[in-house]
Amino acid sequence: MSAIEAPQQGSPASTAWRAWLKEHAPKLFLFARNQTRTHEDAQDVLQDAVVKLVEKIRAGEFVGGQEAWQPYLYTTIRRLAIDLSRKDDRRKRREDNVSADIQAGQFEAFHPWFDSEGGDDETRGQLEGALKTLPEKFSEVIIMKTWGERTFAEIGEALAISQNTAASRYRYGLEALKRELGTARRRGDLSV
Amino acid sequence: MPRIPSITELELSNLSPRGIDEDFLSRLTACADGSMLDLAEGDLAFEASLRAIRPDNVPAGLYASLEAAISDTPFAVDEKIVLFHKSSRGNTRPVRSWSNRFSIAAAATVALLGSIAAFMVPGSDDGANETISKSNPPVISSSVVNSSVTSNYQPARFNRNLSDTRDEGVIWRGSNSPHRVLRFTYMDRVTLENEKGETVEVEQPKDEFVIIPEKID
Repeated sequence: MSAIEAPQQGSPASTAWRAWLKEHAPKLFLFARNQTRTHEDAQDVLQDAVVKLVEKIRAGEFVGGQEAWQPYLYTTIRRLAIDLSRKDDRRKRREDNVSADIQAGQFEAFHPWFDSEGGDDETRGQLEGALKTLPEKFSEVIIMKTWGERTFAEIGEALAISQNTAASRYRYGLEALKRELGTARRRGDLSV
Repeated sequence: MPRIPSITELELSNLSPRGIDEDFLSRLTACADGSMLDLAEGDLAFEASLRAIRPDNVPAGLYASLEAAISDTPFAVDEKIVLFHKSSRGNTRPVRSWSNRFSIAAAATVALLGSIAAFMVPGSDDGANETISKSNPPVISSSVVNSSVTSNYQPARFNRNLSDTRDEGVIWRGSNSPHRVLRFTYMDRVTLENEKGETVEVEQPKDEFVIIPEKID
């Protein structure tokens, strides 16, 4: 038995969107956190990026099918994060609020980047710390390739670099990450 | 008379650039021989172990906001299948199940739509103009409640509504000849009806692009 006309919440599109968000939103959110300074900023840019995507789809202006959504979202998250960062810099120069920065840092500690089910707390913490230590141009490529499962061509497109540059940054970033995660690797939590 | 180099130039020429490290040399070599995009097994294994550590879930509040943002947005499964949030207009009631005969009638309607639409396409005889059509998957709605009805459905009415026209601008094709692209958005609707007066409506959105040579001075 199936119904053509179903309640809004259980409609085929709602169900499909929910499943898509459940699968892809955590990876996009991870990228957004890498690109922004705070947990809240990451939420804002991810939401704004999704809104831009659906507005384009509804207006019939989006080029490409479902396979083009993620590349669009990664590119848009990055652009929104850059814009936000420029606004924040201008605001910080005006306010120079040191205590707010300290509070933000403490808040971030309660919102880890990685799920507690995948690996122990120490490994997760080391991985997050290592990614934060890496220059952004390496960590963003690692996040897009490893968890976002983007190709080097897609990464290059999103970051406005060649795919060879994306691959080079990835290799360099992986080597740096291996060195930073030496303890976790020796314990056997991460393969050599 | 040859120029005598200065002391600074002599000192500089005695210096040589620092060598590059092995990792960088490997990457440069990979660029040169085209293997940059291929990852070594060790890197692939390390990548897999990183991927096993999953990103944290999106906060519940953000998830709710994202769901609200996507409301009323069609979900494109692939090129041919698009899921919608609500059925098309008209007197529709929930259909309990599909009958094979109903599905065959719907498929026949889609074929009929295509042939009628092709017949009704405007302005495609002019050799200078070109028309390109792009149809989206049809949406089917029905007033049929009882799936055990086995009577035949026949096309009863056809309706085409022009819902939008847009000037998409000028494109250049071959040998610097400009062409203006006009976009016409239609909603074709075919109503099927059986002997009992029960109806099925099939709607198919369609975009037509008419390409017209543009005059230039």
